[in-house]
Amino acid sequence: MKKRFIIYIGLWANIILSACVKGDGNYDYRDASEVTPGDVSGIETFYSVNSLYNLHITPEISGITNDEDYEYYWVVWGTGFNQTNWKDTIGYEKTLDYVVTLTSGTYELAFQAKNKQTGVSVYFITDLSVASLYSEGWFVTKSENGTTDLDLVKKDGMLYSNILRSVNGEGLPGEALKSFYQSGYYVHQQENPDGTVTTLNGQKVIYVLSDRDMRVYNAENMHLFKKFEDAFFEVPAKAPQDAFLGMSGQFLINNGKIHWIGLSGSIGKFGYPMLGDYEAAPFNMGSMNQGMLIFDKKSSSFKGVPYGNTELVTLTSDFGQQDCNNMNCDLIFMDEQTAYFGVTKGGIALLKHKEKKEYYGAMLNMNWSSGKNPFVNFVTVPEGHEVVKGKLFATNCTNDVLYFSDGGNTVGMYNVSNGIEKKAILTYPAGENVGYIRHISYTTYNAGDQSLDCLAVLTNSTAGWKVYLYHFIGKTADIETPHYQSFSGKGTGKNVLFRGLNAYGIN
Amino acid sequence: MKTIFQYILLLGMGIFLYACEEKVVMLYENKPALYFYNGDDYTNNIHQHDSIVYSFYIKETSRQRDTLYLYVCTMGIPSEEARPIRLVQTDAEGENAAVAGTHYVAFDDPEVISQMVIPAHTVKAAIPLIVLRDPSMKSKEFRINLEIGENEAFGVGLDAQKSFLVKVSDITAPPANWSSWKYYFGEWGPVKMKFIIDYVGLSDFDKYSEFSQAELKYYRMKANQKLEEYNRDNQTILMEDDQITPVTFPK
Repeated sequence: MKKRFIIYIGLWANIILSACVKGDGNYDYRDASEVTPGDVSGIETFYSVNSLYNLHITPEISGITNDEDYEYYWVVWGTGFNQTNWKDTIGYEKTLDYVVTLTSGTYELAFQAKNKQTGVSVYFITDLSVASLYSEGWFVTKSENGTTDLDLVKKDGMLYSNILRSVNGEGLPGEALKSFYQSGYYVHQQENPDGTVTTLNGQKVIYVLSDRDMRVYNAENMHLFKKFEDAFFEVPAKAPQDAFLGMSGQFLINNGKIHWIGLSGSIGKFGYPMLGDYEAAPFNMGSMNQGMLIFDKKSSSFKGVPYGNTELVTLTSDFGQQDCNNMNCDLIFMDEQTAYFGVTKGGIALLKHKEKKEYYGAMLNMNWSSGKNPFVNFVTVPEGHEVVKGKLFATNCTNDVLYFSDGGNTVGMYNVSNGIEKKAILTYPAGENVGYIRHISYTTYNAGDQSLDCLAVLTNSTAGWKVYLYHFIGKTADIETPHYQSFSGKGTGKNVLFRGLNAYGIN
Repeated sequence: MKTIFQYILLLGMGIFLYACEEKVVMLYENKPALYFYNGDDYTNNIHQHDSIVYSFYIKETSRQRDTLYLYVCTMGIPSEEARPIRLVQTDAEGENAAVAGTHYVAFDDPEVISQMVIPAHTVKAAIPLIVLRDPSMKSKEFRINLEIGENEAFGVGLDAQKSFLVKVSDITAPPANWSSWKYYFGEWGPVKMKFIIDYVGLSDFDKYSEFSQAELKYYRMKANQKLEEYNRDNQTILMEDDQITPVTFPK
């Protein structure tokens, strides 16, 4: 036992003493600047290209003597909406030679050089912006000879007329109503020549509505995705009235019924109309992440239409609040006030009593999404105000103001909260009649400073349509005259939609 | 050593010479024969095993007949011409036997006889069995025990696959995959099932996996709407046969 103990002690002593021996080693510490690969040069910090452009980048890496000793990667990933968790390797050579097939939007492009032996890597990340002909510009929905089409005006003023007919050989039958843009949540299934079906997820689309048809187009190239007949599981009678394209689904008001496409399990077809005995007025106050507020003509009530529901939601009022049910009113107008990225802060509605000669203005909030009455205030429009003669309306996105026109050559404004009306704040030459008004409050998302805050007024005359853009005076709803930009085209315009790079839903 | 070398040389030559002999492929020389297909042909979406169970209950009320297809295969080389085949009901006298002309169209009926063939150059064919809706099926399941019958063109093929059973009725039963449908239509009931078939327009419950989630939601909403309309139009609440359980669908 004692002998074994001595052996143990001896062993431990050896271990402990050996730990104290100075290790001479044969390490050769080098200065950090001598380790390869070194710095990357020859790559710009920002590239802005058009779709199908041949992107050619020749990087230089300091400290490299033999290119063959390295592996190279060029990786790209999106920074716009609905592009998270996606990346693609577009090159394995030191020099990038890439025909840009990415859809329009903003991306980050990373270059990596990795030493095959040591595994040491060097990276360089740059910003890449991809545009297509249709990714930026003003889209005017118009009709000519009973056919609806789109005209596109680019930032530089270049006009592309009848792009639906140019790309697809035809526009839509009927008089123009409105267009809507959806930023990449659309699913489309296409049948291949061999009979198999390919599902295209995350598509950007433009819906175009006429009074007799609706079609869905690929917003990247304006190719037709779906006709009305292909856009439903059970095709209803054609009577499109309004739509709202949100983040979690897309709504269509057709013949007073609400159809919707959800995100989950979607194949880009509208389902059965939402349940219940209702007739939706052709307006909505949409919210990107919550759904729609609509007005049911049958019950004369505001109803909530949250994403995923099969039925309309009846809203409850608090004591003393103007009831939003059984109002005995007709809805003259309703629309959202879009705050930023398409997020809705509220909206404005204008109603007319069915029996009395009374009109009411209402500021709306988002309480409807929790089943509550949406009225912030509900006021009677003072007698003699011209807003009640309006045929066209538009909300100001930040103030409690409605712009209106009776379809003649003037635009007025009416403050719903304080009842102040300004008549004819804009007047156009005789014969040039107002066809559409819209406050365009566009804030870019990860696409540099391309913000836009203006009032767009579309007029029609025998010469065709014309769009005027106006700045606001400070943060007010007042208009700075004269207009700062205008552009025009042929036909009768009915709607103006501005699409910027990385635009969100535009309704 | 020399002797070993000679043996190896001889052996090698023998192998080479044997390799040059013409190989005569054995051909099927017996009379061509017929048997029922048994298996899953995913390419052509044919799934046939020993029997078929068919109920008119899960079809529209207006449907008075339906065509089932029985797949038969041949043994022997394909023919340049179409060849007639013969199927025989072996239990025609049995207690629950289906009656030709009442429960199904006889195979020698002019409506069917022309299709009782193996077409030229083929080795497999779909033979129609037209089943007829008869009131007697409401309370009883009828059987058609079929066997390959010999004729001038075919003998009986594989013994294990010479018979096939068809059971036909108008009696209700939940589809085997109702647990999948349950999320969209709720608990199964015979009246509910009938309502879905007649008013929602869905009758092929085997194809659950072919529907997208969005399409299933569409059917659910349609079922709700149609039920509401039915109850409103008829001023009633649709009940299951027990007259206690109302027919409802999840919303």
